[in-house]
Amino acid sequence: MKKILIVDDELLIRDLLYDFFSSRDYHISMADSGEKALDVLGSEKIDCILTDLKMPGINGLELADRAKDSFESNIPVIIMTGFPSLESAIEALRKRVYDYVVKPFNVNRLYNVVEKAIEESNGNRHTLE
Amino acid sequence: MMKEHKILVVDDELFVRELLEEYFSKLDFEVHVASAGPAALKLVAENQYKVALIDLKMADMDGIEVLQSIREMDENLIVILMTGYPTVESSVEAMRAGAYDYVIKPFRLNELKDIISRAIKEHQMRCEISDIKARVEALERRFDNVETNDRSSAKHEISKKVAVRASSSGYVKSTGSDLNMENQIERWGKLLKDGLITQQEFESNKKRILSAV
Repeated sequence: MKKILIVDDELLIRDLLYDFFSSRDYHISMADSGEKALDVLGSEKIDCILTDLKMPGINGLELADRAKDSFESNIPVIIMTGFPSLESAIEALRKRVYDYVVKPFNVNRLYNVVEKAIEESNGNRHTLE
Repeated sequence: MMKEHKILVVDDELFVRELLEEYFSKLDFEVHVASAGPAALKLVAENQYKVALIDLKMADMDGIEVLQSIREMDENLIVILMTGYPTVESSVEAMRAGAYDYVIKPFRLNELKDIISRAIKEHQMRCEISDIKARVEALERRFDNVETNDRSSAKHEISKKVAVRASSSGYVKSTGSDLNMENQIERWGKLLKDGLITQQEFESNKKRILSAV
């Protein structure tokens, strides 16, 4: 079963995504900060990271960087933000983030993005493992 | 004399084409230019470029459409989009289409030069990965006639070799961090013996391992 890591400092968003993805046969881990997300990545095998951009401490883009440097290099990262900006979108592109989704989002569309991200990541991994 | 790096500049503004052609030619790049998407695609079909610098807003075919068509023709070609009209939407679209960078006009030429230098390294890495994939596919075909039981262990052996090879290129992190220096050299030696790498690649990796001590 696929496992995603949901990282957001807003409980409401974590709950919403937990309910949605758990009803679609996903295993879910959650963290309310970038720091806690790194702890999860150190102990669990995650297929995709869904993270908020703006969080106190380690933000979503820093988390994407650290996840690449410290753990499996090709976990797809999807950035979610209610405060989109050109600077952060370009930074996300340069960090090879998989997608940049603006809140409020349509969860069904987000689900399709997650499915595609995991599918593509698995395809690449099978070739290299 | 043939120049080492061939790049393509696509922009409907003559001034931008001329500026970039002049600047990068002086830096020893072979620069080709096109004023529109269809002409650019024709050039991509006929040449082996490492990097394409493409304007986002062009009549008929915009930069994203050109990028999408290039992806189907040459998956290793690095595409950098340039725009004087940056938006969150188009930068996210560029990300989704697989752009390497999104550069805002007016730009500093020396900054663009740095981006292109990094892009050329990325191109080299993509080509190495494509080469690895091709070798794996060729090896897998060779095992097609092997009995099923043997095939799975043979594939496992290939996978291990590829993981070592890929990790050396920096594309993926090595899963064999516990390998000591001798084991690493021995593995590279085995890859050499099996014809998966050249003598030169073996020597350079051996040097790298020894210098890391």
